[in-house]
Amino acid sequence: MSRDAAVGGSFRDPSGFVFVDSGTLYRQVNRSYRGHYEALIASGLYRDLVERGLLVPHEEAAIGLALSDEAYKVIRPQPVPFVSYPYEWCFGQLKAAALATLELQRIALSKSMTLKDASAYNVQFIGTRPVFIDTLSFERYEEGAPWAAYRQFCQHFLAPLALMAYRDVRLGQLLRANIDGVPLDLAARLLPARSMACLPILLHIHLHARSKPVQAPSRPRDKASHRPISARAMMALIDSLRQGIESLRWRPEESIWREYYRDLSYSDAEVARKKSLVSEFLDLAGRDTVWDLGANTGVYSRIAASRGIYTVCSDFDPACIELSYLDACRNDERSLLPLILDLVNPSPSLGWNHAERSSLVERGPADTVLMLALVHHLVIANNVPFGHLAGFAARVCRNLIVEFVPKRDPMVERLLASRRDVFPEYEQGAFEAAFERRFTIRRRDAVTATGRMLYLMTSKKPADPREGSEPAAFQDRVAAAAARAST
Amino acid sequence: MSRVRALRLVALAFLIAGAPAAHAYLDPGTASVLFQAAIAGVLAALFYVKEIWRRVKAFFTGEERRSAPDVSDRNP
Repeated sequence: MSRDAAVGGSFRDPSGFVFVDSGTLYRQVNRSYRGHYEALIASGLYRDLVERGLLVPHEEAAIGLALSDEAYKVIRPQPVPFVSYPYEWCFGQLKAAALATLELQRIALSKSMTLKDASAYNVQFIGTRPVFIDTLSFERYEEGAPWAAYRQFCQHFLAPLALMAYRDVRLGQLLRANIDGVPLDLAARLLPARSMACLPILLHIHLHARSKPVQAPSRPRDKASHRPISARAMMALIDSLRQGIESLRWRPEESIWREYYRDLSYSDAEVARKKSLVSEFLDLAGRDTVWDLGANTGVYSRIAASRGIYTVCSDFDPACIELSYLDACRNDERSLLPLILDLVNPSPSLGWNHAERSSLVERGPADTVLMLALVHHLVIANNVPFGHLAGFAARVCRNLIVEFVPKRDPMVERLLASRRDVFPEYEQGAFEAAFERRFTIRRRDAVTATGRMLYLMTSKKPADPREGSEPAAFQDRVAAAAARAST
Repeated sequence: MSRVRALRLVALAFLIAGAPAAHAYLDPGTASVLFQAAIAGVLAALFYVKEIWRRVKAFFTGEERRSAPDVSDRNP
């Protein structure tokens, strides 16, 4: 076996790579990294960072597991419960990841080591806590040397955060299109002129973007061709970046979705009933991982998280996820991971060979998926036929807790008020028939007087993320086409 | 702070100079290193001035200041 067996996103760094053996995650450390690895351990930096919760801990494993003869060691890092990406993080999460990276570099410098890269993909969230996962990113620091990861830090963190804070929070999605971070010239063009009043933004984005690119040398450049940067100047650079990041703020307005729960669609008694049914169904379903899709600010996600189940709380609205994240930080909720995910355009597999970043489906299946007050948004507002929805659900979970909202519900009436009703199939019988092809319905309970129903279902066969969704039934396709034509 | 103002003037000169065209054989990494070397000295001087200012303030107000900022225990 060789490096070909390494996981998709782990091929750039010659120091080593990550691989999976019998379901366990390992990292091979190559001989070329030996000196740096020994310094990481001997300097006490590894222990210090792990104790502060900034670096993922690892154990050394048998060298016999190595995939190639370049190996110096094999380590077994503690796996993170759910891998997420910067384009799925809210503003507060990206900011926390940026500050953690700078803190890591500050502590590393104090122990005569430095981060050789500052990719946002090297940070993962365990609940609300950002943790650095690339143990091989540390190198011995030589005084006078520049910070090799300076530009990368600006592209991965400072530029997207500045765009989100100064222009529009949705610009965080530029990270999905630019896998090595937002190009600085693009950020400089998009930022308003007033952003130049902030010295770190002026320096590290606007001027940095305009620093004159030099002709790539025909021969390898002498390392000391720049002015040496003293250790004090290096600390000042890191501190200036920290000030820049800390100065950026984004306060979500009370989003319409936050208002949703105060809306007229439920009475207090009905909310209490829905909560108690969700609790009961969760106790009957799988308890390993829960994904709450269309979670809003995560009221129901928290029912799962409070049971100690690691819960991904996702919604397409950045404001909802920001509020959910801030609440989770305030209340020290450790089993909740809020993420921005748009179900009608979920995170794809990205990067080289489509294998560097996994799609949402590839990161599943979850034990249990919650789809509460979601079906009508997907079916009526987005023309997703019931059959497709059931097919998607079967790919991402083993157990499904799903709510059906009938046409006479005020929220559906509101959705239909602004469009032609081309959904004759939208009724409880058709919903159940579509889902029963994939799932066994274990419970079916009424939630509201308007006829909202809550179901607990279990997949008829093990979820297979590779399986494509089934072609739409003819009527479904006709209805979808008619709806598209009418808009 | 007059240093900040001076730095902003330098910055303005940079901006007026115009953005260079992108080219596959141009090396943004080296440009970044040269830029970093150029600003790091100025930032160090600013950092030093601020540190002195902090200490002077601390002396008069009697506040204890940590010498280095620590963000690890800060709630995000």
